[in-house]
Amino acid sequence: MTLSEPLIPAEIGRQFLCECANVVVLRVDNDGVISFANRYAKAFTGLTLEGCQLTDMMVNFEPETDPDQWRRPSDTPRMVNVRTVAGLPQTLYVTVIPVLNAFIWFGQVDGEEQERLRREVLVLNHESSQMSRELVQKNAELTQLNALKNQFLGMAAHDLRKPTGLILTYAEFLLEDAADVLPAEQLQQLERIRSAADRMRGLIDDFLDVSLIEAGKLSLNTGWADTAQIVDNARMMVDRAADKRNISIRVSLDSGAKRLWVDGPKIEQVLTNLLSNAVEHSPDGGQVSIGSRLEPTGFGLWVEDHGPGLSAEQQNRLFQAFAGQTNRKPGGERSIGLGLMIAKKIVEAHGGQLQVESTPEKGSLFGFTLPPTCLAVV
Amino acid sequence: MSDTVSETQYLEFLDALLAGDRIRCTRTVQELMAGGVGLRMLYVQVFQRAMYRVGELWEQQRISVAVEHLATAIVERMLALVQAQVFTGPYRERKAIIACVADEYHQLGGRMVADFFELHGWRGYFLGANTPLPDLMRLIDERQPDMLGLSLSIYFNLPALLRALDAVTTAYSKLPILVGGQALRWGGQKAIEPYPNVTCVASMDDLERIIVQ
Repeated sequence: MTLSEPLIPAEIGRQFLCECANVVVLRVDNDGVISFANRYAKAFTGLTLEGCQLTDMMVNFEPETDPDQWRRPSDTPRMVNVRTVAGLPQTLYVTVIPVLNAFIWFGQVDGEEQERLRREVLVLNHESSQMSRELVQKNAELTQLNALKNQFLGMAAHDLRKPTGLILTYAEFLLEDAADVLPAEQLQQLERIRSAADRMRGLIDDFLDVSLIEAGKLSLNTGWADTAQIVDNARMMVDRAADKRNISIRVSLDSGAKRLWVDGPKIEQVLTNLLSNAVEHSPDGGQVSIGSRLEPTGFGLWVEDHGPGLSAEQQNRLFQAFAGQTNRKPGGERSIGLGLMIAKKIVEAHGGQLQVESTPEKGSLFGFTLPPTCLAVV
Repeated sequence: MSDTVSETQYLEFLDALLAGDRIRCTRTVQELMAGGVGLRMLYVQVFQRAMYRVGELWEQQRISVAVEHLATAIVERMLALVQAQVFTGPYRERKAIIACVADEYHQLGGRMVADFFELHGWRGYFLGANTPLPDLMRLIDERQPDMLGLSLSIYFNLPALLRALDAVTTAYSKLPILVGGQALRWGGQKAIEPYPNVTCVASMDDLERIIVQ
């Protein structure tokens, strides 16, 4: 190497900058038109560039900005946001060097910044992937625990049903057989035992239903069922409670749907639940109405009361299992809120819908619709 | 329907992976699963095999770090695609915690191991990349696992692994510990030998043999 020979010959440096280097190199005329762009500039922007205005390749959110600022030399590289072939803007750190009738523009991506970005994106991707795995795993755990809970609920309810039935049966026998010999106070205690056992059996039946529903094992035994008979049977179940509080039950059925293709006992269970709720929440001496209507879209059956009604928030929680655990019935007994959830599932299994309309202080109307497939117009 | 992956199917996945084409990778995985390929086969014959090949190509400087990182991210996406099936099945009683030691950012292998535990009826908790030792100790205390798995991909992180083994074996002397990862190809087994209850796991087959015992 001689003293006059440069460390890197200019031609080699120029050729490298134009053909190989990952640096945006532009020659921009004084009128702002790009007269030369190196290979990287074209590949980076996906544009031909030569003949374009310099501002065409920029992402400029402030149109008022003086376009000449991109041409003025500065002591330190200046940040310029540029469109890229990938569609994502990129920030170049630009050095401007004036030459005769033009200026040369060198733009580089900050390697350090890119490295930091790459590392952080990697970590964030790990975290997001990890969180997604945890979420799916927790969902699976909850599903598995719920299945275990249902299994336990089903087993416990099944095992409790028999002894509860025995208590109920023997309490009824004693009430019948010993009515003449026992003093009134003991008869009253016996009646309380019978009534509590009856309520407990109802709860156990609800638990069994819930465990079957949650396990996806609710099956329907469909056949023709007499509509009026369903209503009569449900009414019989609540007559005693209604009579006690002088509540009248008015029935007005549409004569068009005398028979239904349904699981009769289950639809009767739904109606009994609605009717029993209506009676429980009616004021003494009040009135409960049962009605039905046949429409082209199906068959509707409803129960209306003039009780305290439900707020919008209460209505939202009505069909959730155990949502009624804090509710108390007018008689003071606690409701665990399974009845309506079971009723809803039974109606849905028939292809129908259970609905509620209620206004606080005025009363509630609970009704369900069944699709035309459940109908036989006779 | 067949639980086998043909060479053509594997090469199709690898080609898409190296091209950074996540859509084509997704399609290949979906086709394999629709054709009856099970998760185990998918993990071992497709994901693991392809990532070993990606690692080799990177070591031979035939692909860049960016290509390797993108391939890793795509395989992680594929794991997310199938993960709902990983966790199905009955309630799991046995638990394993899988973690990458501190400063270890290669988490794909560890995650696949955690999923493998799930596939074999265990609950496989995965703590992710770069698990600080205090966090690892706290989670062992909270979850009381039946087994611990520690993953090490970069040999230079061996001291972090040994620190973790010191701490865990002192506090939980009876807890079985598995150690695995690509770093152990370059040695390190000797350093692990003195620890009681610590087993070096060289492959998914080894892992399966231990899990099903």
